[in-house]
Amino acid sequence: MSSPDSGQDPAVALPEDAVKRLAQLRPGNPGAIFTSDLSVNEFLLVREAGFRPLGLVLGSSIYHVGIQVGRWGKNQELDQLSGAMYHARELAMSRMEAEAASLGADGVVAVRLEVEFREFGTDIAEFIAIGTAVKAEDDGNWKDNRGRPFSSDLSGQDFWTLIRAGYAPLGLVMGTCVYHIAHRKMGSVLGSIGQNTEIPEFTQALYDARELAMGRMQAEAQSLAAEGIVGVDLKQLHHMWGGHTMEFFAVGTAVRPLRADHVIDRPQMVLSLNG
Amino acid sequence: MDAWSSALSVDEFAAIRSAGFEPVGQVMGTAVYRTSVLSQFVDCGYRPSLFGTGAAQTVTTADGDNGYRGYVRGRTEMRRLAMDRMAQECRALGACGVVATRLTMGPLGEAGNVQEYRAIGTAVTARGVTAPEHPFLSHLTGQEFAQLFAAGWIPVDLVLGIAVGIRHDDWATRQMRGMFGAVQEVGGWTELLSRTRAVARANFHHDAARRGGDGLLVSRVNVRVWDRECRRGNEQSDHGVEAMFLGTSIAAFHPTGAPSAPAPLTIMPLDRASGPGTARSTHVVT
Repeated sequence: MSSPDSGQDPAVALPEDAVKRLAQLRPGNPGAIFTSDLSVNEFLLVREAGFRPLGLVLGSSIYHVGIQVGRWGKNQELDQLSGAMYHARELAMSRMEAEAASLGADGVVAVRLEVEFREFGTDIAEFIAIGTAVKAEDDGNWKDNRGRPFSSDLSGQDFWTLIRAGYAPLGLVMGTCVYHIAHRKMGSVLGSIGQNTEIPEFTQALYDARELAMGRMQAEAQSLAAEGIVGVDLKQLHHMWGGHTMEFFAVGTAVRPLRADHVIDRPQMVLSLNG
Repeated sequence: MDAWSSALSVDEFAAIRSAGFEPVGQVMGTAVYRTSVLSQFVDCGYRPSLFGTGAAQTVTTADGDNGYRGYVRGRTEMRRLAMDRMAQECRALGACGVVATRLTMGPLGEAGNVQEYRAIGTAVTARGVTAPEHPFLSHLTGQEFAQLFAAGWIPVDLVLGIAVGIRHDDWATRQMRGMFGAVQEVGGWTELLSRTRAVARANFHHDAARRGGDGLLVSRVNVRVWDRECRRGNEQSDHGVEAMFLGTSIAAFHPTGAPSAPAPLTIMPLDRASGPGTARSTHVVT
């Protein structure tokens, strides 16, 4: 192995340059320093994709979730709860987007949209959206069809690959459905004792609920005039409702094409030596 | 030359060497302090009125002394002290800076209000480079350090921002609690959390500006929520929130010669250990 400071390519970063820069540092203006909660890898890839981070943006909404009375033996959507779960996330997202717009951002990358139950009580949840607002180095139009900054829950790695493949993120799209799955009637429970059999009521409920959540997400993407949705995550969340009521939450990033061909470099095959 | 010690993994060691740096030794800084918050001085922002339910608003440590200002200042100073001591050890070794710092804080002994702040990291240096007056400090792993460095960025300082906010649970907030309360946003608590987090973020920016730099990489955002009895003795309660941001500030430098970071290479790992595809298929099997 060659010694670290001999025979190096002159274009490679040298410790001297870096340490010299440290000596030149002066106390700065807090506004002149960007913030981001990207990992180092993600940060470098977002820069490589031609975007400059502006700041960490966040939006939050504390929501009282509560319950809605449904019929014991009926498969049904609990529409009040569906509306609430959507509204709370929308509040968090729109507050985050407002922060991004006030920074003059073109978009928000690596958005994390989470639900956390804190010490406010069992039925109080915080819906929080955190991301990094970015601005493009070029003058292209990155905003969505309503002139708002784009948002995306893709990681920095996925974001880079997406841009390289000729797609641009349009917006984080989501759909939710809180569904009450019917308790089975005594007759059908007794009738299937000792048998390995499908329970059609349950199957049907899961189908319906997922379909509703996915459909709502797709409708959002259509309203953004997207070509498709990537990185869809379909979550099944019980929150505080017990076994028969659950939230089906679909979230993904709507994308639009930047150019006609979508070819990426042929990846280099790597056989790792560890593990 | 004396043997050096470090808690770096083999991969981290190799990464740091590839950036032209070498580990010099393990450095540490610690500070023990006592926190005390006098309950009778806590201002929850509640102002009772002669008629009606009174008014409540969030009081953060930026708005005035809500009783936690000394606590926030203490935590900030102690952390700074622990880090300065680590930097001193680094200077004594003639090193350029510290990577892979682990910051831990925990109660010391039985007393709940005595906390120890501890920073442990590995000092690194480069051959033929005079150590800077202020060594750089960072939480980055060796690999992250090498990646940033190759792209023309150097870590500057470990940065922290803390804030505490208190809000009285006013009538409107109390109405929303319980199983059968309406399904809606709790405005008061949303304000409490958002304001406190915003103040912590502003403190974070200010702490970064002390040394300067171009950017700030967040490593951790913590939020702690608690409730306490309102000191007004009205059998009502307040809620408190402590928000904390922790990260490393970085600065861009221009390498001599052409500023060219190596372009990322797309790879396809051929081992079966990880990757989204394998994760999905194992998921199906179980």
